[in-house]
Amino acid sequence: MTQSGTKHHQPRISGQIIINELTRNMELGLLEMGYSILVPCVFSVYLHPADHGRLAGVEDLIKEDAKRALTARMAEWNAKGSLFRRGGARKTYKIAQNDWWIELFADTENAVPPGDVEIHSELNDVAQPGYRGAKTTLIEREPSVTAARVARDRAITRRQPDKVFGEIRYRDDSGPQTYFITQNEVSIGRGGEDLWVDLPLYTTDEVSREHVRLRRDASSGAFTIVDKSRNGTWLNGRRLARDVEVPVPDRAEIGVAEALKLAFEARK
Amino acid sequence: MPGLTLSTGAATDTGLLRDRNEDRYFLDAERGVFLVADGVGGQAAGELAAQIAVEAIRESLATADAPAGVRVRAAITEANNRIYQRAEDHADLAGMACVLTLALVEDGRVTIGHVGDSRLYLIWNGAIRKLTSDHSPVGEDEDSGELTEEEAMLHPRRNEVFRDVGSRLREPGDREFIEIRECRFRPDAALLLCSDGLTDQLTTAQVRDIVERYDGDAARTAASLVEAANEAGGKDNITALLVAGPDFCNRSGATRPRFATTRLRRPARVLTGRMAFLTYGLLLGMLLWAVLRSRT
Repeated sequence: MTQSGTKHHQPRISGQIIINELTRNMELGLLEMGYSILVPCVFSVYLHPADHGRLAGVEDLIKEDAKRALTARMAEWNAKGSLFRRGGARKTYKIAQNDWWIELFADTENAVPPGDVEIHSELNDVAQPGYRGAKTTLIEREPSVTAARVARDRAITRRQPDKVFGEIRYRDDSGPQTYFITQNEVSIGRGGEDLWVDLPLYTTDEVSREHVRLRRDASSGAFTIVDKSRNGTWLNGRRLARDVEVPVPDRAEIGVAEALKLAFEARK
Repeated sequence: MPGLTLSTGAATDTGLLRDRNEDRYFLDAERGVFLVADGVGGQAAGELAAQIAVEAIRESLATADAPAGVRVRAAITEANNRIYQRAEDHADLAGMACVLTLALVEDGRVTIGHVGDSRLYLIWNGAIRKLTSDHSPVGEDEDSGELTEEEAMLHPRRNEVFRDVGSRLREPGDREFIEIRECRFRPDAALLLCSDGLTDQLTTAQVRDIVERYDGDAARTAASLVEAANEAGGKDNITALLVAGPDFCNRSGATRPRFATTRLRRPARVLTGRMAFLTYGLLLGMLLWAVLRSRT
């Protein structure tokens, strides 16, 4: 009982369409800076499951071709003298990473109609959803895949064997909970509709939406903590100054406002 | 009695590979009783075990009057012993059992009784939390951080369970039997009870994305969950039961980041393009010329 949504003709998806759409998205996601222009290099491409299935066998070839197209386009920009900026120092176009990252996903939630492509791009490989880049769709409609989903889908495809760096035990209004730290930065708070936190606490609004942040230095494995809150954070009974990063011992009790306590333990 | 006007709805489906649906659910919004049971056992036995569990729990909770935790334990034990008894009486039903998750919502609190690998999630403020542990070898590894969710979803021993309801006689206080958990139920939160057929197919984040599209019709949200699990493979029976608080609302629009949104047919950049600036310059020049001329 699916409706054939639009009355305009729907292009049958082809590798060329995807690549054109990637280049268009790349152009739209440019970030101009003082001496250079950053080009998005991380692309999540969403296709209708049927389209995705059809292209499954040649996915790698499409990616290869797309990378060539993106590189060529960037080289073209760099070669072309700007009409108005002749003489002055020309800004170079560049990407934040060594290579492009392109991944094709099947849209499992009926958000992308057949023949359409939805692309989410980022300037760099940031783990958090909600930052920069551009979202595009081929057919006239709102991009529908959420940022959280893009982040998660990407996490699935590029998952390294998860190492648990530490754990946080606590009891909020949902009862006892354990959170395993598998990334180098953990934001903790009540979270919110438009604010992603890694460890969402189910508690009163004494706790800020983003209350406190833990960071792990990847080379030394040492943790630091920084308070971001209105009502304060306590580390082993001592109140932290807001926005000042301090080291965390391997075992620590973190007081969140006066609402709850987190038992932190680093794993070596 | 529950103290909140709850919006509730459920959906269940056989899935794409199984012949029969051994999942059962029960919901009574008035009393705040919500149950998902998933039958284990060959032939019709699993189905029957789940059915007996639903009846026993409904009857038990309708009569008993004691603290919520005690009533939940009593109800699940009653279900266990009835299933066991029935299997004793009929040789062809030997070994039938079920796993189940029961939620009793009263006065802004929810009491959860849980045995096996069905699940209960709490969704609040854009985040989802699993409140039940999985009583299965794979689930325990996942809960302790040794397996990632994706690894667990693909694990071949995914279907083994440590605990069940009905394979032997039980007392309400037996260790390693009923897991009880209490949680505050905020008016802007929602609970999702589901059988493993849902969570073996969809990641927690996928589940959350769908639940967040809730628009006041809990049954429709439950149906979209089941449908998504079927689309993802539908390897087992699938049941989803959603209990939404009165203030739990559709947040999907809000979780969307404010990126630049583009379309294929975008408006021409009439006012900001390169040609436009040329035109501005020409117009300005003409204006200047006109002004200077009018002065002389």
